[in-house]
Amino acid sequence: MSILFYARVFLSLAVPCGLGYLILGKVIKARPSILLAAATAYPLGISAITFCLLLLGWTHASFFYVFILIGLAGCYGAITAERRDLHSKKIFSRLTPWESFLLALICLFILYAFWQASYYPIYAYDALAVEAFKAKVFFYDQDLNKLPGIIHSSFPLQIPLIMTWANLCITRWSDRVPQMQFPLLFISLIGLHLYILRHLAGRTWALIGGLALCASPLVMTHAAIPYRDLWMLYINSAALGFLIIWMKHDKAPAPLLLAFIFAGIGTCVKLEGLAYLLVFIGALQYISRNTTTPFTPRNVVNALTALILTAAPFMLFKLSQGIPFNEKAVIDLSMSKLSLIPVALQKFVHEMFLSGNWNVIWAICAAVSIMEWKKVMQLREIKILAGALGLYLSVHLLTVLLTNNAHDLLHPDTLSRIFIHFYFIPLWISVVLLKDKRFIA
Amino acid sequence: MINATPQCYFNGCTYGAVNPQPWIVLGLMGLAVIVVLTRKLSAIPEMAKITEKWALMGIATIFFALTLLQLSAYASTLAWHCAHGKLTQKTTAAYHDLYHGFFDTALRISHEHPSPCKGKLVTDMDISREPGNTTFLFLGYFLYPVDIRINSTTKNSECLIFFRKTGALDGIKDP
Repeated sequence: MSILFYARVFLSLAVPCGLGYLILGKVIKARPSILLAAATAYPLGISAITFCLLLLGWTHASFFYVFILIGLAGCYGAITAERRDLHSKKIFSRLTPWESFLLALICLFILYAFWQASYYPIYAYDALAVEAFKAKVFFYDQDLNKLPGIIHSSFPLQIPLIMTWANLCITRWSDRVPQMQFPLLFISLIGLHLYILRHLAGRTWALIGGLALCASPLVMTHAAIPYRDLWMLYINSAALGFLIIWMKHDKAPAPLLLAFIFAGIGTCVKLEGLAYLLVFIGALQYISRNTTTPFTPRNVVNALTALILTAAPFMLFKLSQGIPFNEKAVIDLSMSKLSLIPVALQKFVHEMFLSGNWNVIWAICAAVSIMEWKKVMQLREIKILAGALGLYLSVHLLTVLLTNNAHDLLHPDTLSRIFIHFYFIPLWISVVLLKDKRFIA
Repeated sequence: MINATPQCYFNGCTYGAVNPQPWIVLGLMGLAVIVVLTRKLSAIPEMAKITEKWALMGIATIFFALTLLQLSAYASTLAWHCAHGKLTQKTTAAYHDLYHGFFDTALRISHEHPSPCKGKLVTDMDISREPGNTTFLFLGYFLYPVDIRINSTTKNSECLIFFRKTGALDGIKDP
């Protein structure tokens, strides 16, 4: 492999981060802090790139125009970049030995995720049969024309287009290079947890929360494979997290705007993204009723515009290509399905507490909630998170009851992947409930 | 022995060679004991502070024990790869190990016919059900741009791919 090849691989990772940093600066109208940039720059940048690829494919223009578009956007962003710095405090200054130890452990997990991604080429069923195949077709055809003929054509295109991007950068198809994109998302996810939990519980507990995320084997495995579930976890935690920060601390429009942008991007990641949008709206509804947080008309218009701009393109594309809206879930209203309720609940409980995928985070959340029941009833952020968890579970229970997809959904292989989507909730609830304890401080 | 193939990606994660189930059940039992004791003892005013501290220490111990188990599994995986000089591997070698049943065939066809071509898979496998379906989908991935997956029929095909077909050559006539 030549130096040029490695430079191109580096470019495929650095360009989304740089582009995302510029977009983030525009959204928050200031120079982002390191932690916020680590949390959101890559997902924002790579999402912008996949939107460009979608539009280029839709208009039958060559995918290589994406480099020109990024160049133009980069120049414009760099010229008009905000110089205002809102964050004077350095986040890594004066780490205690205990915090340094936690950070070191998190770094070990990140290194392992990178090793996994570099060691194995693309593998696993969905990755090869669906995502990578679509990406390979898009790469060789430089077009999205064949999408209606591919299985699961209704699935959103975020992951295939990310893989197409990685291969466009190296100008040939590789089964290995696209893998490196996914640990970057994992780093963003950890950064996001640190950022949000630092607001909710302080730096030490944020680091414990970050470690708890890494210390869940299924999350670690998904950190290095082209599956959409870790993306969905990122999107859900970003949408709800920024909403809670907006409610609790900021009141400035930026976190609200970020929450809506990520909720919109969620519809381009998985079909469930649309259902999760309802959970997001439910949380928003709770906040608007129970707090004095200002919803100015300008805030609302900006946020809705961001949501529509991020969510609409792929839906319109599907509509224009005659691709079914959702090929997986066909409505099936038979009364016999009611007998599935106890089966589904039993499988949910088994997945949470006995599967071996989540360390013992679900159990810790349950135990701490019982021990700190008064706090659960008092803290608004806990009520929002618990309500959201109820809604997430209800979405899947209703899918079991109202569609013909029950067998698929209740299969352990699928169920564990679904539980990744809202895994941040038990983690955040545990951290917020434990934050006042004196054991560590 | 350390498993050299990819770890779980859907369910039932193993901690290397260690089955986590007994540890998790032990952890759950420990948490249950902590909850019960905390509820009982925190009602006694002079015990409340110490109970809180011990409860937190108990929860932390259970969490870190499983975290260390996971880290040690990763460490032993890396150590195994180091010891066997396999910290990196070539893509073809990896796919040969993972999907040797059909990857080698796909690789050979791709070398002999590297240009795009609309193909038709001729096989005795039942590709409408497993395991034939997965084999067909994966083979389709490895073969592309020789396309056997999208709108593939005998009529519009430019090449035929014979795979696990008995008497494959019998039906071919010399031009």
